[in-house]
Amino acid sequence: MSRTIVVNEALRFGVPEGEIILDAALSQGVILPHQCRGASCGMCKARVTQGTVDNGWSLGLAISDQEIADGFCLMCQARPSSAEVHLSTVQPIPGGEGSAVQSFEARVLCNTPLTPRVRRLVLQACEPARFEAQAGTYVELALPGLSPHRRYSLATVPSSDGLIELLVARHPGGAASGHVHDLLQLGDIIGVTGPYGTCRLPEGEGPVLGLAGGTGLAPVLSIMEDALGQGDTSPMTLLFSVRDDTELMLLDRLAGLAHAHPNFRYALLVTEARSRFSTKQQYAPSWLRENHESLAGARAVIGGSPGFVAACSDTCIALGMGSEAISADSFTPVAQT
Amino acid sequence: MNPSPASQDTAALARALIPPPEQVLTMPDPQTLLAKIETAPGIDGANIFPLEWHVQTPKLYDIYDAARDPGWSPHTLAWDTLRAEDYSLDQRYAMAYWFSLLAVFDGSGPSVFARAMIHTYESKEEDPVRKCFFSVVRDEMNHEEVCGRAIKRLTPGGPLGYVPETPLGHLARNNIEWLYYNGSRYWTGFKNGVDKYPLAILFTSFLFGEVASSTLFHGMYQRTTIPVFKEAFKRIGQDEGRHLGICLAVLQKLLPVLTEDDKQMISIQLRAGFVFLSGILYEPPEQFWKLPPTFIPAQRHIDEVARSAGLGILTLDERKANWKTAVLRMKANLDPYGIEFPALPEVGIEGKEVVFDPEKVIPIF
Repeated sequence: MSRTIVVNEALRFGVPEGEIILDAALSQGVILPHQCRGASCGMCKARVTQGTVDNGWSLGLAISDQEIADGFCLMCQARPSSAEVHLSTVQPIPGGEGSAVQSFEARVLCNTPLTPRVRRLVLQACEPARFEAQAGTYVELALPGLSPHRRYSLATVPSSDGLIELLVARHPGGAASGHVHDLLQLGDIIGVTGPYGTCRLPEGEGPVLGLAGGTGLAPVLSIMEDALGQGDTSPMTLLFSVRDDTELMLLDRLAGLAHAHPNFRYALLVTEARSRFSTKQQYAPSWLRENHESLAGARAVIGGSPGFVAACSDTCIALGMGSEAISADSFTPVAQT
Repeated sequence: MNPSPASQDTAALARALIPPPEQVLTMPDPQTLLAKIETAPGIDGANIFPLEWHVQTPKLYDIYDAARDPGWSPHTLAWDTLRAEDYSLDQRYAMAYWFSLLAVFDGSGPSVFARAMIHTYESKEEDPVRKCFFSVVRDEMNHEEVCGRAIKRLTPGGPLGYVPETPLGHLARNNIEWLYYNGSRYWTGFKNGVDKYPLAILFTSFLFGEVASSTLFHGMYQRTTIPVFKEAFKRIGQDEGRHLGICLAVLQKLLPVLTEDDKQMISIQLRAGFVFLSGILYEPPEQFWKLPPTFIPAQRHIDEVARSAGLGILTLDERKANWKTAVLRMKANLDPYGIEFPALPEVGIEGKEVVFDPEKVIPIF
């Protein structure tokens, strides 16, 4: 008798009697997060949200007795023991549930300035590609004569019309961002590959903090907007940090979300100049400490430069947030790598 | 037109051609040959021939494929950040000692698993089992290299080719000689034992070794403050996790169909494994380890000094607690298959009384 597994309410596959969940998935070409297959690394940990499993082998390094009691299992050892089992993975599924990496051509529909440094680039996949991706993922753009390809986070979840929205900041000496800012014209065709990336809304029920530095707003806003659109009622706060007022962008979207969703609010932080949006110059870690005595039980999505991500992440952990409750998307200009 | 000199030479060569002695113009008739064939002599058992590539457990192929690129290499670790001059002489001796102790287990890995790999060929194990052993040999080679590089960097000429300049250095060196002596006894026992046992028993022993090493490296990775060792322990721990996956994939097939004799032998092996592995997970018990009275007091002193240098050595109490937890988890996972766990009074675990037989030691890192 075959059992049915549903992962993240998106992937569904059968498991023959007595078979291990991960083994059955992989044998059918269903990719789930995993590494050692020996109950040691914990990459395949998942919460059983419906049904029951036999937990099988457990060494205790990857999953504790408490976690098992809390309903977690390791997919590399667990066997389903009820007809249908629903699982929610701790690590994101590589490539996203049901969204395989594709390479295709896309046409430039929009390339307009949002700030002196950032342009909003909208692409539409050419036929016959139909691009599907999750919020928090990124794509690689193949720009003429530039290697390697450059990576940009999705600023919105691609809808059924195949539109891909990106925020492209100009970096000093950056060939790709310079090309987008100075040369890319409406109607141009460029290569796109994706989706990639594992930044997602962390599992759980606690309040959500979105911490965005500069164009790190793209993945953070995308993830929060997507969750709100799906009816998530968790309290959500998006902190958008920029150096001065000229770098603020997409305020209409932020205000619209706050208007439409009572559980969403946002704050603007200006770090290096006087601002009409912020009462004082302040960095995100300082704002976190000032506004939160404890972040225990909260979750965070962080996007921005490596320094911004590291500083915010360290502060969240120092305030009691679990490291597993943090998901981050860090960008590094190619010129600096 | 007169022929050119070159043409004349060609013509002369053509005239000088000599045909080969005889050319076979017809092939022998297969039916005629078939009537004359002789059957090949039989092949002795425990031979790598005849070759075959049968597969019973495709999952093992997947694990082998995942192991083709281990994702790291000892020579690319940041060894230049490990500067001997940053440590006192005693700290250098103590850390090098610990890597020598590790190497008695990890350093024997390549030879031990290579020998076991030959055994899998001789015993006609399925192809992916043999290939997984190959990947384990490669991994163990990397782990051994980490030990060697650490020792050479901290005590050039080490582990034995240097003259200690402090009393602790002399104690460490003497201990290492005793460790090697006991390691040689282990190797002799392993060589005598490895061919005798069926796969289930071998893999239960290997599993015990992997459980031990995962426990050890997990603890050292968490505790060490020395960057190059932190990464090394993390990488080695990841490799050991893959080895656990191999052991579990084999045992999930074998454990449900064990004979009663197999189960009894596994109980004995578990006791032997505990005694041997306690040499590094806790302290070496007397049943196997032949050591002088100075050995354990010296090692405790060395532990303290290595800990002060940031190597990540757990305290004796922490080691005992970790080892007990790991053993209990091993027990919990074998209980469902009707395998009686041996009594391990050293860490306060009750169970079946089994006699330790040093000739039957298999466990491996």
